[in-house]
Amino acid sequence: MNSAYLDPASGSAIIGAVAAGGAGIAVAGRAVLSKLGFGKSKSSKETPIYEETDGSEGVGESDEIAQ
Amino acid sequence: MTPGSGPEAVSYDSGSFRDPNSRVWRDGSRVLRGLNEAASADFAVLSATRFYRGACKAGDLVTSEAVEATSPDGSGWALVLEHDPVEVITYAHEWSFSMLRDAASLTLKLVRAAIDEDMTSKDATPYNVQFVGAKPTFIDLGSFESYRAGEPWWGYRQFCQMFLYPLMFTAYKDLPHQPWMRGAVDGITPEQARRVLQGRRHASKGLIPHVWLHAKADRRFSGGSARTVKELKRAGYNKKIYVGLVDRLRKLVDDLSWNRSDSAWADYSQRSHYTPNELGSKADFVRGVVERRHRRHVWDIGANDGMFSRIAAEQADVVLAMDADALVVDRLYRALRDDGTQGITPLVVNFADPTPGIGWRGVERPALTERSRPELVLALAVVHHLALTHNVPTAAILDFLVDLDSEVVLEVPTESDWMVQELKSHKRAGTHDAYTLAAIETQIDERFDVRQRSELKGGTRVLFDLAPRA
Repeated sequence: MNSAYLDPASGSAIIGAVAAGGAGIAVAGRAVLSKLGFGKSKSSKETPIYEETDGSEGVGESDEIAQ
Repeated sequence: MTPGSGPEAVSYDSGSFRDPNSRVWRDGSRVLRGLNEAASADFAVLSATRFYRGACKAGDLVTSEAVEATSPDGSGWALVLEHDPVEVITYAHEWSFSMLRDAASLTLKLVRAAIDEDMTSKDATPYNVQFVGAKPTFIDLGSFESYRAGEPWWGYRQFCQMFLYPLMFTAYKDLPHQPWMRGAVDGITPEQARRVLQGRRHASKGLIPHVWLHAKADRRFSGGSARTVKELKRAGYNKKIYVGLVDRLRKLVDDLSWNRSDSAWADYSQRSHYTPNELGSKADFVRGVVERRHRRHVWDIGANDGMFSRIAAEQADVVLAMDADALVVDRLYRALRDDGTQGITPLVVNFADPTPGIGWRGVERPALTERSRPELVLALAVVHHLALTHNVPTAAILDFLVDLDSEVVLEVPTESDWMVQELKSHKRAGTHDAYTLAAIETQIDERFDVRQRSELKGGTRVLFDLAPRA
């Protein structure tokens, strides 16, 4: 019934960033792209890419660098 | 939660259940709030902040102290706070435009001050704000919690639905917000706002992000909020963006204005139909009743410019100055706010259609009569409007006043009064032939003890000082 308690709703959370202007628009854009499956957000750097590789540790680039 | 109605069973406030971390109950005149472990920890942080102390001192935030108390259901709350009580709870659907705007601005001011000390609010509803006289005060301490880095302002959506869109409706479309807020306890959705606020005239005043894009995003990204918040956080959402949003919202809200200059009753305050002597006699009559004793709640029905509310406030804890005309109420509010008058809260209430209970089971936000029981009612120059404009039988109007179990000062314009003639001329001939002073006096005598009777305006208006039958 009340979407406010601990649930800002997806659209509102994104628009809240857009409405902040400046850096908020860029952040919202990255989040939307990530949400839509386009591009990769900064989050991917939290997941070491070598965990998904064949085990050649230290060889893979971080996702941020790959971008 | 019926103030002034004597001993009653202690129970949680009917509107305090949505936040599982905190609930409010009344014990007599005491207002108590239980906080669970999480909320108690947040309050410990909050109460140590500069903004909390400053806001309490300024009257922007309700003052509270930790007490020992038993909750209605025996729940073992981690902490119980006792708040300074608010004499009468009022709602956004009874507030004028400026009252809602001031409540919105206060909410943003507190949110902005809180974030500077790493606190945030998890909601943003007008129900968190109450008016003490004509001053807004934030009452829901349970709203504040510690800010977690990278999270957006959780109250943004609710702020739009319950503050921003209603204000935009009035400022941009000259639509009164009260019926919308009364019609939906959660306010106006972004899509509803988009449909109503169509047109490009005000495209530069916050409509694009807060309304158009918000409605579009609402449709496109429904559900999965927690994931979205996570994605925003990963995308770099930070406190600076949070602050930017709140600052921009506050500027937008403060810049909104309602430019209506005329309404049915906006010029009534000139009271040109009374001579100074007649007006003086009416004021003396009211003052005589007011000075008889101090009262807790007084209702002024059809208060207009608040002339008689101010007299009543001399001997009352709070006067509800109520009028159906939203512009009149807005002017009164601004006058009271600006001159610092205390003890009078203006409200937009049409007694032909008074505030009902809304929300869960119709009791979450109770009807006006459940929130205030007047000890004196001023019904001055209002009975003929209810009877002749709204077709409410005079006997029914008097029954309503009887049910309030209150003293009443009633002004009855007779059938020869110019306003009665004017109102009757709008209706089919003969519709209100039963409206006569003789008939109304008989109905009064059947229901009240008449203490005093005084004629004004050459006998075309009669004032009655009425006491409820024991």
